[in-house]
Amino acid sequence: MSQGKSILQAQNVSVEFKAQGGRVLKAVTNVNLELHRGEVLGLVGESGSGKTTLGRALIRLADLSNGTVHFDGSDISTLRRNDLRAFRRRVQIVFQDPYGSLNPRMNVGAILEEAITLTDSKEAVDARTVELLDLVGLPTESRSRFPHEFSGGQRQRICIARALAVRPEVIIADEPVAALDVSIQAQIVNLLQDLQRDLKLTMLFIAHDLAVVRHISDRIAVMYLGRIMEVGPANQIVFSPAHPYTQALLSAIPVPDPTVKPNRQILEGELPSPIDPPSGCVFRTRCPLADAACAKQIPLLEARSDGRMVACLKA
Amino acid sequence: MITLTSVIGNALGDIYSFQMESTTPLLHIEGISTVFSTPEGEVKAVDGLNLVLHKGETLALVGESGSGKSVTCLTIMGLLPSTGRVSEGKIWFEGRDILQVSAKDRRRMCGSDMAMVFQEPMTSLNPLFKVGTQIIEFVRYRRGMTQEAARKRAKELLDMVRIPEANDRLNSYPHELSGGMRQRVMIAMALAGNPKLLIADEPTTALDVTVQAQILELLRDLQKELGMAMLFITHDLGVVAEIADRMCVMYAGQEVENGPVIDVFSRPLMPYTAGLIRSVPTLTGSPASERLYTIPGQGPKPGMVLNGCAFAPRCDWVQESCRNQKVAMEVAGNRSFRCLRAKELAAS
Repeated sequence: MSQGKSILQAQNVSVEFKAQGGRVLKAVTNVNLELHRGEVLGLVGESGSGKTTLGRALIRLADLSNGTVHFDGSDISTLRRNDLRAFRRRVQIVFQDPYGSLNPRMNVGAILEEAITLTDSKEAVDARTVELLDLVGLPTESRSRFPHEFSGGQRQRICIARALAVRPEVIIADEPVAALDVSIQAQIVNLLQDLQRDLKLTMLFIAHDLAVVRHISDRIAVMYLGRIMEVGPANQIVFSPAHPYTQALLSAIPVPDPTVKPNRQILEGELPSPIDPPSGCVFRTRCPLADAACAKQIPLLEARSDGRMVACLKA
Repeated sequence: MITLTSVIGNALGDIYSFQMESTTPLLHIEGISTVFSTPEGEVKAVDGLNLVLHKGETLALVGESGSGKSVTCLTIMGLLPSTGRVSEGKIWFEGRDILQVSAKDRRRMCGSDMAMVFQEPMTSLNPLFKVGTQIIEFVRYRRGMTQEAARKRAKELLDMVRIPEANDRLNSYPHELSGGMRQRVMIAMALAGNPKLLIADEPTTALDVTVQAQILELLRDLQKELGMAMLFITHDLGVVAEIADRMCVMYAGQEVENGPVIDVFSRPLMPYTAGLIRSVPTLTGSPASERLYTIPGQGPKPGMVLNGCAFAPRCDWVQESCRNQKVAMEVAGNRSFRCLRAKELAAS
């Protein structure tokens, strides 16, 4: 897992949506995040934390209201025509729902051909189709079949093959295994891990399941209500979380071992509305450590001596 | 907040929880098969299932999509759609064969003897009516209370499921509540008739993990206080380990393993169970550098007729006899399993 310098860089990124009554929903607020070349960065958070929106902002599928995203040195908001096309080839996304992201009227061969011809010649389509199907563990005969003939796990393999068709350098995987059964989930996680290693991909793995994220990631970033709470090496985040939210999130995960009686710290309440987020630290309304200072001051994501970054006044 | 005991009127819960084993089981399912008619003919969704659930006990029904666990719940509740029917077997509730009772009596049992909580609370609540209206309607229908008494009871129920400011919440519409709050409302409605059996079908699957922890704690506490038995359907082995006393693993419509949770996790007697347990990534488990264990292939399509063990095509332990003979459930003490090589598996 050799890690190079940063390939994708978010600086002070905010994404806002218009909500009813002229109000503004802050999906992502002032996020700074770097994706290093060759690494797997896990992005975790609960629903409404902004992890999907951040993933989309990184590849220009969501408009920024503030901040910049740089890919390989250039600001992606300034890319036009050929440069934008090149960027789209180099960065691909795999979505959560393999049912909704494949055209039901095209067979697998046609789906892949569409992607392959973006980078390769017509003559190469045949060989490349066989190669891609093999890469994701599907039989060659799959090419003449339609999406509905496949199971959820197989459809996700087709989506991965399509993403790989343009030989990307970066894959944004947005909850790629959330819709799959346990036994199939493990197959897809292994596949992504193998592909990442063999093709030297850089991957942003977005998920709510910390156990899966820890398994596949080199580093983990934890989001809450649009902000990054903590970023650091995967084992550090899981075994010695610094931010009280990370701690609570970890302790809430049911342990698949009946002999372990978890020492659980149950958070009160639920995620506040992103339309009207709390002042100061957004987590303070549920935080066991919060005091008056947390309501006044927004904690910055600051580097700690142990190599991680934490946004908390108390921890 | 009003204590549960005062709500219920007496402390039956304590009596219930110490009556396991000795008496007639609360729920006894004997060789139940449920079939659905489809354009391609009849498809068996549940195939000869046997289950025993005692008072105050929690049984987890575990399986992947299509394993028949949700159909099992609908069969018990008598909520099968018109295309489905029970083709064989019996369901005893407190010693009474509930497949033989009249439709009217069956309806009466739903809600008072047994109640169900579904996975998606938003689709189970009517979006056009206030939460309070829906609970009050249900309470009045069940118990013939006056509007005023029913409103008071509705508030008590919301207190019971720890919804803050219950009086205000009665005037909320479902869309004004968060997912966790909606699920609490569904649990409150399920508890309205003081059920002896609560069937919970993936009640936390649609919720975030911190909210899931709240709901699991709530269900555990309520069960202890009310002495209910719980049939808890889930695909999440972490949730099983946390909430259940016993577990029944289903595969392709059949039970394949049944036993106390602690024993099944430490020594599974069926390769499918073993595979499921091994394929779940854990926070403290195998390091990231290792591959996850996977069960190869995928489950059989519904309606596929198999000669041997349904799991044989995916099984690491398969031998010739597994493919060409039906494998029966075998009982050993408090465990049962469907595998010809269970002894070798246990010894491995």
